[in-house]
Amino acid sequence: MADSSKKMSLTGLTTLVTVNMMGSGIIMLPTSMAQLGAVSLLSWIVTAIGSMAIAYCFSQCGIYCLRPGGLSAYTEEAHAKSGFFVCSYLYFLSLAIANVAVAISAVGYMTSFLPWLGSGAIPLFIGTVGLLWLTTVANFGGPGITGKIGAITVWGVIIPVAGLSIIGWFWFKPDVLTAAWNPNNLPISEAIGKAIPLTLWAFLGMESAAQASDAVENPKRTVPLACLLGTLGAAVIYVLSTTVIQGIIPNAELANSSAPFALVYAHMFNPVVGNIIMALAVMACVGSLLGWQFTLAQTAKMTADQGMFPKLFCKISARDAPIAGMLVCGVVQTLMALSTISPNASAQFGKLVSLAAVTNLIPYVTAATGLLVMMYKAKVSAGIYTRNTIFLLIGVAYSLYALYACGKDAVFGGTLVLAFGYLLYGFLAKRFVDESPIVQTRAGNP
Amino acid sequence: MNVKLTKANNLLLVGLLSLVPLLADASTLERVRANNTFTLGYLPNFAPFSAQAGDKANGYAIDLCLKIADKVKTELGLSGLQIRYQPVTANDEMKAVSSGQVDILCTPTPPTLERRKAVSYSVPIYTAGLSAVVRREAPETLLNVLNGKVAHTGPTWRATINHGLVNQTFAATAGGVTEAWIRQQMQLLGVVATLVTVENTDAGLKLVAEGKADVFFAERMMLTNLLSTDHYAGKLVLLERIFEYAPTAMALDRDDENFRLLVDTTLSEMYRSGEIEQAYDHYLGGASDAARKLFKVYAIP
Repeated sequence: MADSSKKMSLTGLTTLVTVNMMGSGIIMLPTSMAQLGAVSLLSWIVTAIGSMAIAYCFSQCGIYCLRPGGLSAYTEEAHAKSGFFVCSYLYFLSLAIANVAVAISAVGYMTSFLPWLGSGAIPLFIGTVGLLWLTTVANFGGPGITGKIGAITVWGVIIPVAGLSIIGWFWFKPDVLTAAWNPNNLPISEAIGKAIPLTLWAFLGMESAAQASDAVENPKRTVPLACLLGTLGAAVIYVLSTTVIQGIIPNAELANSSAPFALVYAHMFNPVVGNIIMALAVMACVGSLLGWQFTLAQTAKMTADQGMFPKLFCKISARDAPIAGMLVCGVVQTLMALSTISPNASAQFGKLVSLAAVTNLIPYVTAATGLLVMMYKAKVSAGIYTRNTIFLLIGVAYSLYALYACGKDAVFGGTLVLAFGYLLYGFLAKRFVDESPIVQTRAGNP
Repeated sequence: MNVKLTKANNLLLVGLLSLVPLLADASTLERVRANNTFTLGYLPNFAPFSAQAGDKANGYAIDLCLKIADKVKTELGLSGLQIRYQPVTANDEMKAVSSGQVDILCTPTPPTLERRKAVSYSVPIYTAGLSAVVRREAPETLLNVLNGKVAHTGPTWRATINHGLVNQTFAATAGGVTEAWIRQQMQLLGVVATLVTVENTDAGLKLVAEGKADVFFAERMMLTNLLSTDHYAGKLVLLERIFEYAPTAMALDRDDENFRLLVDTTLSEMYRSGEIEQAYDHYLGGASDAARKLFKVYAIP
């Protein structure tokens, strides 16, 4: 019972999910969307619905599958032990890479306050490594502390982004939005086609609720709700904020802004407010990195608990923090951050980041399809089965499209990494032989 | 009575109007004959086209101008014709031509409609290409954009570093066609960029070398020339891509078809005789196949 105070609450987890999703991606989103014009807002219809379908599947999985392991546990339901391992392995890789990239972006945003960070490759490296370790060490306090810090840094998203979604309407001018509709005069279908990739991957991160199932109070209720509410919240805030901003700032200015939220607040109030908003956005970005480092360590811990990652990842401190595993992750990420020093290595790291989106999406498909088995085992009614299957098909179709849209290079790299994962699992598989003697007997006696 | 007066007025008007060209200034050739001097206008810092050399000038365009001077000499029969070199600035170059301060602007400029309101032009003498210089370690996203590719390929998600939209500083020479072109292109290139203008090509290269700008757009030949002689050479690279082509020509007096005919005759003869190609070899590192094709287009038969 005393244990539960160290764990995360529903609010904490919902916050974590929303911040994880929006944290660093939202900062430049209005600019990229404005480059295509307000017509790009229509892409939200596709991407928000698709993402909600996946979030719904994950929350259903969270209801039926109470074993620890998050996406990997859901995967195991349909795809057995190797599925568990491959899912964890791909997802772990994805986060380890993505977190370094988020740190690099965060340092980029900080340069407006600390110009030294932008003065060369070495300052960028130092800033990136500094942030990675700051967010690693901040997680040593355990999930409770992570949730509490998250509850503070989330204001960095709430005030600028969610705040804009509400108060921005007082400055909203429909004619500004109309003028921004389609500045490049593209055919509508082409404009939407170009806009979908801007918002297609904006919801990656919704799964972080499931990954934290080990560290939350009452996971059966908290995880599904946090996944659904977090995704819904992010969708609402995404749509409102990117709409209202295009009705306040004229398109040409917005499309050439490197800090759109700071720009809109400077426009509504004054430049000082704009700077404060930028500082808050950076804080949210760092907060999201904290959340992701937590999720990374949790993923490794849950996999190690199943005997599939080195034992060191599941050693937890008195405060429930897998400190040894976090240190290992920190070292690996520091090595990856070295790539910032040379332009060639940066270009290679950029390819890894694209690959990381692929290794994030494959687990979506394996985990969501686990729901079919879960429903069979739970003997759900035909109505629920049909409803969930429809959502599942929409969600998987969306994931497949998102995978396809990652492009040849990223999918190529991702596939190699996936195949390599099976080699690794080959060495681990013997550990699970004894667990299913019946199957073996059958196989041995035809 | 009324009718008569109008007729008289008209006659007077016609008489006055016919005097206007003479009053404004005598034609270029008349002026050259009267002063026994042919004045070449040029920008002194425009190597390899025109560059200061002591109290004279040299360069590709100056060589061509000297051929024109020879033609003037023989046409007018002025064996003792003096050549005067008059440096001008980019700001007053067109005024120097329209006011008659110089007889011809040797340094080639693109004939824009705006300029054509003040001056006339020879046949093109060089096809300018807008290109760009970046630092050797320029990020891939920037190179992609400059090469006309999407800044960032692959998924755009939370981990995409700054979404590929890095804030860049672009530099261009002030007031040129280049500046207007970049302003129009920035949106289409899909980058967030600030445009700064510089006084001349040298200053632009310096900005990029010092990291104060990320890209400098300028005429390819001038960039090549500076990069080959300059100490920035190791730090900077010239992009292969040419963004825009613009034929450039020599500006001359707007209302002087006789002089213009003389200039165009000289240049067309030079195109056909291969003298222009020699000048290309000497100053501009040789003529490309594309340039040689254009020689045939530019020469008036």
